[in-house]
Amino acid sequence: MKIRRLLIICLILVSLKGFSSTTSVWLTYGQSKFIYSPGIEAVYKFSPSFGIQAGLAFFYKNYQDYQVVNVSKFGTFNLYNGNLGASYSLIKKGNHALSANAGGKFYYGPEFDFLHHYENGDYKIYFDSAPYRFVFGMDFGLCHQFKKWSYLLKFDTSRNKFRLGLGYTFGVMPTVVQPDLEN
Amino acid sequence: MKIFYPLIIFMLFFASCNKNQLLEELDHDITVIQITINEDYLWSPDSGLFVIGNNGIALGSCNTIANYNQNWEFPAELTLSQKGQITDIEKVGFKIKGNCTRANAMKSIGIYWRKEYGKKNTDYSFFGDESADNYKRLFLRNSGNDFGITHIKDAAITQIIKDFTAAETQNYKPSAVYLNNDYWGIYNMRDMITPHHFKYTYNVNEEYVDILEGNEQSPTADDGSTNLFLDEVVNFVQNNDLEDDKNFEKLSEQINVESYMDYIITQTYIANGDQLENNVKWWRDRTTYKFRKWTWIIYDTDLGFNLNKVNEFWLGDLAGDSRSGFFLFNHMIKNEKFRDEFLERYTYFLDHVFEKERVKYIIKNLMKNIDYEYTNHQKKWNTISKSNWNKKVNQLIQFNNERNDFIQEKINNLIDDED
Repeated sequence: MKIRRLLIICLILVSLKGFSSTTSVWLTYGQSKFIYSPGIEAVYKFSPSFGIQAGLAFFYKNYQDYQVVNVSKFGTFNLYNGNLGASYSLIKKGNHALSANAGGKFYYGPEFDFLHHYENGDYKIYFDSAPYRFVFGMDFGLCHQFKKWSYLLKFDTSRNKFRLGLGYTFGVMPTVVQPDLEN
Repeated sequence: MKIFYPLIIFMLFFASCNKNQLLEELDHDITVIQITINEDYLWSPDSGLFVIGNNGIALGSCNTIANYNQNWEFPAELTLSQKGQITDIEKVGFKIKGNCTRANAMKSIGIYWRKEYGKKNTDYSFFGDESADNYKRLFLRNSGNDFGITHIKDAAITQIIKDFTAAETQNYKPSAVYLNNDYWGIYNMRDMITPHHFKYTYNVNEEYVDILEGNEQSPTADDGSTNLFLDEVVNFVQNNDLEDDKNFEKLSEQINVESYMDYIITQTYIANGDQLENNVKWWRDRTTYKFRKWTWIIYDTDLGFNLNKVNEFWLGDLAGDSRSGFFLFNHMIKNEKFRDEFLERYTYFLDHVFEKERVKYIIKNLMKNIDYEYTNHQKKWNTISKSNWNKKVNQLIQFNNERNDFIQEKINNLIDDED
């Protein structure tokens, strides 16, 4: 129920910000050992260059019993992480645009770390190091936009993980003032 | 574009740092225990003691069905060293120990000496100045419910009370453990409370030792039998008025009243949410005069000293508290003399045992002992950062400072009520 509620809130927020202005929404995905994490991320541009960016991601956990020494009690599917930050348009040439974002990120979910290589079975054993507390860090990302479609590459220092996103911009494309890179 | 390149470099730098690279070379200033054991006994899906695996069972109310809940014991070799010098090598049995805390990534380990491994026991001095002259069992504890927090809580509570209490406690010494050459973190070496512990500590015959646990009215026998306790204590208390000093005298021939007082004082002072009917044991030797009275054992206090419980007060009927686990106590406080002695002893514990500066000194000392090792441990198990660890340990001191004042007032009120 919590997850459903969060998704609904997220979608309402995105729609409230107005598809008629400049809101980009990405469906994101990240993956780590035994963890599959879909998510949603959005940026609302309140000026041609700046915007507020936020995202939520969930996890689905799928592991083999013989490969783990413990599993934390977060359930099989639950909230995984969230981020909030600012977005800045770096460059725009023709139909292409590049922007960067930076902000804060939290995790609250499982994390499988390598523990041991079991030689007789020739496979790795993992432990769930999730500490049952929020883990905070920085979140950085780059977004390349072509017309109204965009893709996003993100990285966070909370758990040193990459995340990819595929998105669409609703409303009028912003006019970006080209910065003078020579000075 | 100027922002673009530093951002990429920053992302790649962080992504390239992994924990194993940070754990390349370790040195230790505490006892090092190297455990060598067949890999299949640890990791195989069918017999691996550490994995959830394919051959698991449930354990009590714990959630996971796992291999590590099995009572399997496998042969292993134990190599102990101090400051790089090997001090002892032992052939032993290896088990996973603990209740639901087996579900932690770092699991508690039981070490067993048996004739089939080479020696029935060992005279190695694990704790330095301990009273036992031999050991048949050794407990390498993961700090239970305190795992990933202070890692010293139960040890600290034991150190605070051990020189004052008439209840039984466990010795403690921290160690750095390696499992088949892999660093495995800080384990708390403890006595294992079994009949052998009492044999080697008090020179009693282990075959005549009863160790009971759980609910005082319907205990289970960890070792020996519950019959004598049910007959001589439970039935007696239910059928005789302890307000009468003669009846109380008879009861005190069966139980070590001081140890019971200390058990209640300690558990209620530390506000141990795991006490009463869960982590409670008491023992006796049926044959020797000196140890024939039931004596309480204080262990597994990891849920105590919790800042959220500083202002909680429970003390059976004496505090108008209806929670279970005070069956004996509620009968015993009907006796005026016991009541007075109990409150007097509680005051003594507040003024001396849990005295603020003393407790602070003990906790800081224990912290200092593993301060250097904690960095290795933290990297291995991704526990809280060192600064947060410092904070959590300081919260133990804060708990005692606030708790002492709070309980002092409550006990003074009870004394005033008595007058």
